[in-house]
Amino acid sequence: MATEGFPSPERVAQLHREARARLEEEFRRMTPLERMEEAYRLSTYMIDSSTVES
Amino acid sequence: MTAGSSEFRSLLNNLRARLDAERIPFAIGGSFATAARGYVRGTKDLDVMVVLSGEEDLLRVHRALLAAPTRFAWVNEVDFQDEETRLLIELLPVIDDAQRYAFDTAPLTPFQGAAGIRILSTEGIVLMLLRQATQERLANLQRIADIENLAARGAIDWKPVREWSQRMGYEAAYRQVRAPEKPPL
Repeated sequence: MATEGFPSPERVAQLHREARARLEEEFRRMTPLERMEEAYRLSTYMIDSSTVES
Repeated sequence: MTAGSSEFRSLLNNLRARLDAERIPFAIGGSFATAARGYVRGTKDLDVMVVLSGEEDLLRVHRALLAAPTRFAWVNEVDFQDEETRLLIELLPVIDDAQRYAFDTAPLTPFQGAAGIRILSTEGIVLMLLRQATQERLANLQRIADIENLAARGAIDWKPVREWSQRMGYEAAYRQVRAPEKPPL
């Protein structure tokens, strides 16, 4: 089968949930300032100066 | 500390120095405050609430941000762009009682010595999100989702949020929020 040896869609969904829970746990352990820095780090890919009027 | 975090700290430091020099009280709101209180997501806006003691104070805020050394550029009447982080700085003067409540209850968060910076409390953020959701009407789904995500990550004291929602006319937005602990109106 073409899907043999691959995780099932259900397993992938489970892995997504586990990854997210792990990251959320890491966020919980951070200080408020560290969480803001994380938000900034996650933001950098969104910031596109071409969308801003000059 | 990553390069990104030092950039962000530098921005906060710079903003604080400029606004403190003009004695303009300020607090961080919006998505960065939401992150500080537990729900981290990307954003390109840094909301800065400012308390003005008179209309001329807004001119002082603009002057402070545009002062040398140049760092902030005018984008439009209310937004600046930080040349270093490229974040948009949105200035939000406190103009109603709900904002005043959010500002007054914003705890001082320790930040690089000095007196720290004010970051809105969870309840203050929720109230401001309900305010925005009410004003935006149809485009409010992101605000409601942010509230639900915050609620899923920590306790919210719904009592003041409920009271202020009723007082300010945010009832429709309040009802939209799905959170198990939320009391009905």
